[in-house]
Amino acid sequence: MEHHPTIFQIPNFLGALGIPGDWVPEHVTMAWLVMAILVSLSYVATRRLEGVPGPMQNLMEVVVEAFGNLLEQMIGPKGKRYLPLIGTAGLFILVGNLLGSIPGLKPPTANLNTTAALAITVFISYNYFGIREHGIIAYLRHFCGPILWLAPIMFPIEFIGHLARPISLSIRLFGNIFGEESVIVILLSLIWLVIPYGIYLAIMMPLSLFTSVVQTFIFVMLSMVYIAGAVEAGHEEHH
Amino acid sequence: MKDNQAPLWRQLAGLSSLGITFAASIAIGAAIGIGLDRWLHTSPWLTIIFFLFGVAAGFTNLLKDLRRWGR
Repeated sequence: MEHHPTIFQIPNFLGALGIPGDWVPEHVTMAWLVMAILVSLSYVATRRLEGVPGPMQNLMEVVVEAFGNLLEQMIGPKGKRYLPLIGTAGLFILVGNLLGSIPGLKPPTANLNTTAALAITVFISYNYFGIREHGIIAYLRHFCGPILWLAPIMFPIEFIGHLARPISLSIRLFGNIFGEESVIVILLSLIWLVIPYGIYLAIMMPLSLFTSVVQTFIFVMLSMVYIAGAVEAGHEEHH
Repeated sequence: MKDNQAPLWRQLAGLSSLGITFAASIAIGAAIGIGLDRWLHTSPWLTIIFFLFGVAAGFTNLLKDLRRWGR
């Protein structure tokens, strides 16, 4: 497949540190663009907070409240503590996925490195939350299962099961967005046939918007399930 | 609709993760086994054992997810 450069190309200014390449990789540039979008949106929305919110503040309040409500439903009354992590990851993935719908831009989540970074962050965080909640001994003991002599078998099984989580999180997000992006690139490269343009507008556009939202939702929801499992680990085993 | 039942769209999102988690568990088990075998020169025993651990982890996760999402 031929290479379609994005409209932003930043020269590699870290070459002196031994980072190879002439340009900053596309997914990194796009991730920075997402951060810039989110930072400026948040700045504009919170610059003048008012009791009766304007349209911008209203939109952001709805978004933040949606994350907060989902957290309280999935984790319980203490769920709001995890809003910073979940909200940041969710907004980053959502805006990143939606960038794919703009011609000339690529979703940063169409690269395994970006999604792996997100998934590893979630993995380390939920283990940290579990240890903070129960202490390291109690948290590790819950890996060993309820019966003592089964522990040597249960521990590797639980361990592998936990390691599978970041892998499935990252590969699912990457696979869905990358596949959708590839189909769009191929359709647009055949645009002189006219019909692919119709397919793109009628099918791929709505479908890519749909996948973007659904994949964000799945990532966020599974992260919440993992955090909930780690935080209430003690109670889960007894039924 | 029961009180403890998650909404349908949330169930669907959760169930859509069954397959990939199952495959990832087996792959990780086998990878750990192969890595340990290379390190300790005990081929092929640890590969077999950890592959089976991986399959067991896959089924454990499958059952847990089904219990959580599938009722």
